[in-house]
This record gives sequence, C-alpha cells and structure tokens, in this order.
Amino acid sequence: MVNPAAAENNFEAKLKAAYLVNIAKFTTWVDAPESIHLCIFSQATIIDEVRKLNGFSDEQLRAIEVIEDPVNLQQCHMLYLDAATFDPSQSNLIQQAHGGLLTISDMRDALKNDVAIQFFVRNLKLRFAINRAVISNSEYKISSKLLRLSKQME
Amino acid sequence: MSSVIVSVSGIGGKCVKVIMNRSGRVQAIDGLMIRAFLLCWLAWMVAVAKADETSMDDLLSLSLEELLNYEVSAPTKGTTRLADAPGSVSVITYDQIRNSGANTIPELLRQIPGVHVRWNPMVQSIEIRSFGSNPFTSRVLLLIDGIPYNSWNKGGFPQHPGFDFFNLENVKHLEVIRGPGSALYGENALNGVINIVTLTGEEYRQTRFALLAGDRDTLSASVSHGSLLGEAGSLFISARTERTQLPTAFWEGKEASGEDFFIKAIYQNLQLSYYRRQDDFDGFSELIVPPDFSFSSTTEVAQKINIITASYEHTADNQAWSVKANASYADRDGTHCGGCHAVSQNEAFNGTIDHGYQKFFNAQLGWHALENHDLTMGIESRRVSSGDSFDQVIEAHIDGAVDSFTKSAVFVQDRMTLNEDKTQLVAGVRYDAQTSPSLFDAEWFPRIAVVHKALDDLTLRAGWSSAARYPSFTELYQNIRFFGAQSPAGQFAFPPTHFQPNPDLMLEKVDSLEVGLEYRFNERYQGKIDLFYNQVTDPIVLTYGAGVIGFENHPNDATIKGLEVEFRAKPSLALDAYVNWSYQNNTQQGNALDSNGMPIEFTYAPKHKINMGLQYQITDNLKTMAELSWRDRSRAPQFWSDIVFGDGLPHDVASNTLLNVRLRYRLPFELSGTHRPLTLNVYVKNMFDEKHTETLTGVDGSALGREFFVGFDYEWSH
Repeated sequence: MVNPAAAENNFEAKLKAAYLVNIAKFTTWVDAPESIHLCIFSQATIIDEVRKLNGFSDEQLRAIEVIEDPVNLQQCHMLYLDAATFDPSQSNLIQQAHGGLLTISDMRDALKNDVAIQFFVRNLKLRFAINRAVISNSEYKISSKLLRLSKQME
Repeated sequence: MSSVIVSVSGIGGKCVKVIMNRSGRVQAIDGLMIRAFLLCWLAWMVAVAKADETSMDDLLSLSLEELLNYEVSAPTKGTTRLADAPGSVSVITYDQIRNSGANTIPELLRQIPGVHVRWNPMVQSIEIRSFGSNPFTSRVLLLIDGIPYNSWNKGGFPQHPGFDFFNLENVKHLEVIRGPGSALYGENALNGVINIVTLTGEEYRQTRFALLAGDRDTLSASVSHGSLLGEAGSLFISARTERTQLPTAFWEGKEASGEDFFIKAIYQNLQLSYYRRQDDFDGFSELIVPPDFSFSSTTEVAQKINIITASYEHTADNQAWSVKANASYADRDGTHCGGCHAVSQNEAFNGTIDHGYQKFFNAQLGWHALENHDLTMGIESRRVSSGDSFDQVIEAHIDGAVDSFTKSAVFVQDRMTLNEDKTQLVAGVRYDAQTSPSLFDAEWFPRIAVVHKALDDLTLRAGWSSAARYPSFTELYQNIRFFGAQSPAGQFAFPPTHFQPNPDLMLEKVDSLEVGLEYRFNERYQGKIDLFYNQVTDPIVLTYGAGVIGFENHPNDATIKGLEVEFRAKPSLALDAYVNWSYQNNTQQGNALDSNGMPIEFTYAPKHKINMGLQYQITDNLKTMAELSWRDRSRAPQFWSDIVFGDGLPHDVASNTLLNVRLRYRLPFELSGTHRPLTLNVYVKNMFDEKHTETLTGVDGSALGREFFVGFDYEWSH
C-alpha cells in the first residue's frame, strides 16, 4: 500500500521537543546546574528534533545539553522515554531514577509506572499530565504554572 | 447599471481589480483577473519566503500556552511532504480539514490539483484527471480506512441519492492518489484513489457538539466523542442529523435530509467500526409535461447504507515482519437510480429496493527483514451483489445477466532501497482472477516507480502503471425508462429516454506514465510538479440516441496529457497558504465515431484548474480562511444542446470561480483557565455569486449563487 506515513513530516516531534524545553524552563533543580542534561535514547522517534536542542538557551534557561544513550543516569536531569521505541528493559531505568531525574514519556501508562510527566494527544493536540506523587518526593521543583496547565488538561 | 471597481489588496500592494455592480455583485470576471491574482499571489509568496526561519526555532520562541494550541495532526501531520510517496499523492491533514472553509469532503477535494468536483445534478461527481464523466459510474476508487466504498451496484459513489456521504467530524485526514492505482487496489482505481482515514478515540479524546445553519434551509447538528478504553483501547463515536436543499436551481424548495452514525472501537491490535448512513429527499414532481399528462415519479428518493469492518494489525517485536487484515460487510437498501425517475413503469420503484451488498476481505504480510527490501504480499477477495431486486431493476431479461460475482486477487510489491538510501525502486503487480461466475476475465496490473533524492531538498519521481475499470451493473444490465409521463389513458406518452444497457461492454483501461519532482525551498516552502501521460484504451462513453441513453466502448482510444503544479507555504506560525494549477489536454486517437456518430466528447473535463487557499490566525482566538477555485470552461454533452438550445451544436459550460471564506472566532467564554470551548463559525460560500451551469441537462443545473452559513461548536475534553 502507498504509505502516507512515509510522507509525514515531523511536526509532532518538533512539538514534543519544544515541550521538553518548556518543561526544563519551569523546573528548578536543587543543585542549580549550569546546564540541564536532557537524556534520550538514539532510537527515539523525536531524536532528530531533540538533537537540535543541544546548546539551546534563553533568558529563562541557562542551557540544554543533550546526552544520547546515557550509560549512567546520574548525569541526567531529564530523561525522555519514547513509546514507539520503548524497550521493556528500559523500565528498570524508571525504577532506578535518582531523586533529581525528571522522567518524561509519551507512553499511555507512563504515570502509573512512576514517570513524572506524560505526554498524550487529545483532539490531535499535544497535552501533558504530571504525577504529583512522584514530584513530591523529588529533588526538583515544578512551577505552579506548569502544574496549573497540567491540571486544566486532565 | 453603473459599476464600481474594487481593488482587492494582497500583502505587498493592490493586486486584483474586481468589477462590481452597485448591489455588490461581481459583474465581470475574466481570465486576466485570475492570472493577475495568481501572479500577485506568487509574488507575495516569494516575498515572504525571504523571512524564513526554521520551524523549530519558531516553536522555541513560543510560550507554552501558545504551543498548546498546535495540533499534531498525526500521522500525516502539518505540511505533508508529498515527494516521498512513489506517485502523485496529496494529503489533506486534520489541521487543514478543521481550518478549511469546506463542510463536506467533496468541497475539500476540489482544492487538490487535478481533481474536479461538480453537481450532475443529483449527486456530486468527483473526477481525477478525467477524460469524461459518466453520472452512472465513477473512475475513482473511494475507500474508508482502506475498504472500498464505491457503490457495488453502479460502480459510482454511493451518495446516490445521498448528498454528503461521510461526516467530516470523523475524518483524520484524506489521501488522494492522482493516477491509476489498480496495482494495489484493483478495479475502479482507474484515474485515482481517495482514502478517507478516520479518527480514533485516543486521538480525539474530547466531546464536540456542532451546529450549522444557513441558506438552502440548511440545519445540521452533530456530536462526536472520543475516549480511552482501559489500558489498550479507545472509542470514537459520532452521530449527525442534517437537512438542506441540493445546491442547483432545479432542487430549490425540495428538502434533502440525512442521518449518519459512526463508531470505531480499538482494543490492542483489533479495530471494529460500524457506519450507518441514511438519506431521504423529495423526488421529481414538477417537471413540465403536456397538459392532461402526468409526470410519474417517485415522491421519495432514499437509501440506507450499513458498513461493518474489522481490522487487525500486528508487527513483530523485532520489526522483521508485520501483518494486516481487513474484513468488511456492507449493504445498501435504496431507491434505484433509474427507478426514481420512472416509478410509473414499475410499482417496485415506489419503495426502496434492496441494492445488494459487498463482502470484502484483504490480508497482507509485510516482510522487512531483507536488507534494502521492504516486501508486501497480499490477498484479497470481494463479493459484490446487485441485490435481491435485480430482476426488477433490469426489467427485461438479458441473456447471461448475473446479479453478483466474486473476485479474488493476489498482489506483491517490493520497495528496494538503492544508492545509499538515495533511490527507492518500487515494483509491484496485482493479479485479479477471473470472476465467478465468469463475468470478467483475469487481469494483470503492473506498476514500477522510482523515487530519487537528487539533493537534500530535491526529489525526483517517475513511474509507469496500468489500471482498468470494470463496467458496472448499471452499464451492463440496467434496462429502464429514464423518464416517463402518462396520458389520461395511462399510456406512456413518450418514453424519450431509456437506459439501454450493454452486456458486451469491455473493461476500459489506462496505461499511465508519470514524472514529477518536489523541491523544498526550506521547511516552510515546498513546490511540486507532476506530469502525466495516460493512454486510454476502450473508453466507455455514454451514447445519446433517439430516446435512448446507452453505454459502449468507443472505437477510438484517447490520450490524456497533463501537468500539475503545487506550491505550499507556511511563512509564519500564523499563516498557511497554497496555490496549485492543473492543465490537461485530451485527444482521441483515430477518427472513428460511436454508434450515434459522435467522437469522444471528453465531457466536463476542463483544461485548466486553479486553486488557492489561505489561512491566517489574526489573533489567538480569531482566524480567517479563504479558498478560491477556478475552472476553465468544459464541453457539455452535445445531446443536451438540442434539448436546451435547440441547435444540436457543441456547447461548453462556462468557466467559473468559487471563492469561499470562513471566519472562526472562539467566543470569550471560558470553561476553565484559558480554554474557550465555544466557537463561532461564519461561512460565505460562492462569494462572487456565480450562477454557472454545473451540468447541462434538461433541467436547470445552475449554481444558486452566494450563500451564508453560521455554525457553533462546543467542545470539552475529558
């Protein structure tokens, strides 16, 4: 069959990458890092767009450093887990996450699996939900604005 | 009458002069205006192209609240890159549908290059690279989620007498293949394929209530809902009721109403859907007949369609292979096309008639484990039936007539990746076995195509394929009066038009050669050019004799040569625009004439077609859209000239320009936080007040002119 998916562009991936930047902007880590280390696996469907974030900074964000295929999660402030390419072995990563690691995923049951922020699509618009139990025990603080927007979407 | 000249301004200066009379109606539209408008548009496109930045940069400059307003339009998303498909494929995305000035699928399709949509006059005719239209059949295959939806009775679209065959609220995107598609889809995919892809509950995840009212006594209400079901399921459901009048002068004052219902449930890899559509509208009752004669027609034209489909998809964990299977049952119970004109001829036509069913099964295996090869193999089986009342429909016995057949097919396609992924070679063939009973012989439909990425932003395509259309039951066997009037004695005063079937019809075939290129100026601007050369063999034409409308394979073959140019732009996050132009030249090969002494007429196939569209987000809550569609004049059937003009000479239907404008405003009523759930939509259709002839027949098939509609949407998430 002619597969229109082959002709698709990557706007959804761009949106997700832009959301990751905004989440970084509205999160503060207790160790106040010089740059935010955004970790992602290289087979993720949004990898091309996330790579473009490497070095990005503005007045609200010092800098983003993209780390691909991290071997040690201690170096990560944010970890993105991609639903389409998720490997069950990566589940361990969520369990092993340290208190300062903000996990984000577009998996449907992400929140139930202790991911901090879940992306989902509603009316073909990208939305996010926040796992308040996870963030209450974390070493980062998510702004009230992000929490409010999340609540509106739930 | 005095006139005023109104300058229509585009960005960058005044571009177009429109001559209007004092009442505000457009008085003069000429080709120069269209050309000027086009040139102006292109000039503006070039100007704004200089302001390019990458889309990612744009998104990063937005606030999170602004980002929340963008739609992902999965899976075809945003401005689609068409070049990667090995043919002339257009996709109308979810965003484009929701932001369009169109309320129906045919209105949307009109904006695609090479596509021509008109009323003929009872139904909308949708043609792609057409070499002549036939109201009783279609040369375009219509699919819903990959399942054939063409009328199994007459081979044409099922909206006879339906006036809006699928609710746009259900649609995620539309895919249109311009050119033959038989190598994958089999018969009927002669000139193109239209696939309606529906939403899932997971993608929708909201409830929306929509109301539309306006001219032609139009009133429509629909509700749609999408939600998740447990851990691995989703549900989409919609229902609509509507009433209106068909948009040509002949139908003014006659009510058309319809209801439809669609449900789609997904659990893990299994998908089930059910679609129900029913139409009902006033029949013919006011045709002029001699004094003391009565025109006998059905007073109600109706149909009910049911389609139930099950689909299964699975991909191996290691991605080495995938399977997909579809099974579908559909039936239609409705008034027959000919019967609705001539109820007096047969009592059975007064009620609805069972018009049969379609059983469809398709399974395909994708094998992805071979390096540089992506192999697809499939089988398909389809049974179509003209229905239990076949004997009534054909009226007279025809030797060898069959009311149903079964056809099986196998197909294989390999997509080879060569030259370090820069080149893709697609080769495929489909074999359709002889039908059972043996109505049609076995056929082979080959296809070969190559897509080469010459530069990062330049993609070249070339392809050759072969396709065929099988004659429909209507063309083969329908033997019925088209028009009847009775004298007081109860006799037919004149049976002037009478469908004369032709059980000896052969398949009409096309061999198509296509070349094309796509160039991405950057992520925001892309252009596309397609050229095609179609060789048509044994074209089936309508023949108009003395009191008889017949069908036959014309003794001449035909060539259709054409060019389609598209340009799409998204110069800023607030602005989307496109322009496309199609040209085609139809010529017959040979000087033979059909049985009524006519060459191939190539009816309703305009040489030039131009479309333009613009969407502009004025403020966060206010958006405007404009869509312009211009069609060159085209040839009308000479038969009707004698009746309408009394001269029997060839006549054209005039060129026409349709401009539709929509304004969308999210009303300042907040459900929670910043979300505005209530939207006001104002539509002005046919702004230039064109009253052109859509189809030349013995009744008034002219357009009704400018129309206004107002709608409200209320949506809430859950």
